[in-house]
Amino acid sequence: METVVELRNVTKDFKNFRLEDVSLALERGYTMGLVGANGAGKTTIIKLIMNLLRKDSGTIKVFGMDNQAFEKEIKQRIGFVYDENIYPDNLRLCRIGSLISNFYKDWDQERFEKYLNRFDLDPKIKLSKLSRGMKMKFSIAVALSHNAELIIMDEPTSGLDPVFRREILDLLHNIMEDGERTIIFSSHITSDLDRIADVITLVDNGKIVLSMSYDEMMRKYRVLKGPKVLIDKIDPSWLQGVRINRFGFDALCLEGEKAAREFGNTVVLEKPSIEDIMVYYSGKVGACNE
Amino acid sequence: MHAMSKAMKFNLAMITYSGYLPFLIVMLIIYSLLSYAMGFNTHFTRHETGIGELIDRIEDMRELAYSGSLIFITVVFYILPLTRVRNGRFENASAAVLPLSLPVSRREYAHSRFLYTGISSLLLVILFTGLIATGIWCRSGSLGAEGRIAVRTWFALNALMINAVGMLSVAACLGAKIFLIPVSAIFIAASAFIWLIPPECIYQFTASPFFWPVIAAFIILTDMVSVLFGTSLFRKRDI
Repeated sequence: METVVELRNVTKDFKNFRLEDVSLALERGYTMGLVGANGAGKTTIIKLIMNLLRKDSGTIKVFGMDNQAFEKEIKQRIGFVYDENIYPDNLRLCRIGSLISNFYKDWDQERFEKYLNRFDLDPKIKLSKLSRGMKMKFSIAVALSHNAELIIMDEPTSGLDPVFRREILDLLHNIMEDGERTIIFSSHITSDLDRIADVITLVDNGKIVLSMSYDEMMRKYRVLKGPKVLIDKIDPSWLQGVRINRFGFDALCLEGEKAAREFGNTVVLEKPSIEDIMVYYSGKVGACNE
Repeated sequence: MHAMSKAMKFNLAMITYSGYLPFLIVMLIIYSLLSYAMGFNTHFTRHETGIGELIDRIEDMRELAYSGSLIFITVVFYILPLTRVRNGRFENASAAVLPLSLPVSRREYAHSRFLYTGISSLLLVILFTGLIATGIWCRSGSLGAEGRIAVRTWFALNALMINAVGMLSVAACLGAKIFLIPVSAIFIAASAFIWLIPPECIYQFTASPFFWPVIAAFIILTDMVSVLFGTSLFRKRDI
């Protein structure tokens, strides 16, 4: 299986923020959900992959090539959607399409028009006349019109209504069907990732705290609730984000199957959502401790 | 080179549709008329007191170049299209995010910016120089020695204020995320330079046989420094 994106020990320092020793890998045909709170470092990782930010150390490879040395070759094969509009507002959609098309060897004008039509976007309209959701659809149409093998989306669904969001997620689902495309999709709306992500990478405060397949995560992880007396009997390395209250404790259990075998009916084990995992890992739940 | 020409085309389209085009055309017309008028007025002095009046005219040109070339042309043509106003503040336009997400290397993108600025600024300088010469010629039927010095002076002043300042400003915009301070410093330095040199010195320089080699060397050197520094900083910086 070909590794499409690989970051190894990547570090980037800013004045008030540090992305530290980030390593991750994504194979062809998979969708990676980059999840984390606002300011956790998701956009920084995406900008590093796109070479919009220069790394301080480490290596970034895309399609097996260094992302700085082979920037042009790599970007021929990437479709990008950012959280804010980067296209010139004063231009008509068809004009933007024709400008962008010059840069791509595999630009498919017919497909571009098909997507505009599918998204109810009038090619003659100026971008400035579109709502945020429609601008996002336009960005997606551009990203999908040059046979991109890797699609990088930074918070594409933030600020969109649920109908738009579902439509975009369905579209991504469709384009993944051939198994040839790879998607990196960052979002803090975790329910979106529940729908499409094969791999979940959780970023917190500039560090990757977790990167594994969605199925494995759902198989292994549980939200564990139990009486206070049990807390000393459980291996602390199994637990993440322990919260103690009057009635007992709850935590994310990283060894759900083992905990079920060992403690049986004395604990309650629930299947977590990505949001649960994100919240327990962020440690913010600890703030409620007694 | 192919990618650079695409980036150049992209730059032109961005500037054309940046919303500044009408403003840009108006400024171009105004400054063209001013250049022509400057030449037309130079005729009177030439026939009166010669060099003394010519130095007065150089003084007028210096004032016009200081305010006009810089504000009417350099700011409008090369600075405004690189900026955007967000939350009441001028920012370096995010335009670079789009081209740098496309299959264009940073070097090619920076070079396309410089190519656009360099070519267009030299064309503008030649246009304004041509118009001052036309003004003189229309009034007197020939340029004459003083007329040629006036034309050279206008060329030198505009080469500094439009080409050199334009290229250095683009280098500053590409090289620094917060660019207003370096760009302002370039503007102030160029204005001070023109302001501090007495018109007599400008006259001596424009009348000397070394004028064209020196001015050509100055243009080439400034443009090369701008391209080298701007590109090198742009390749290293975060977008």
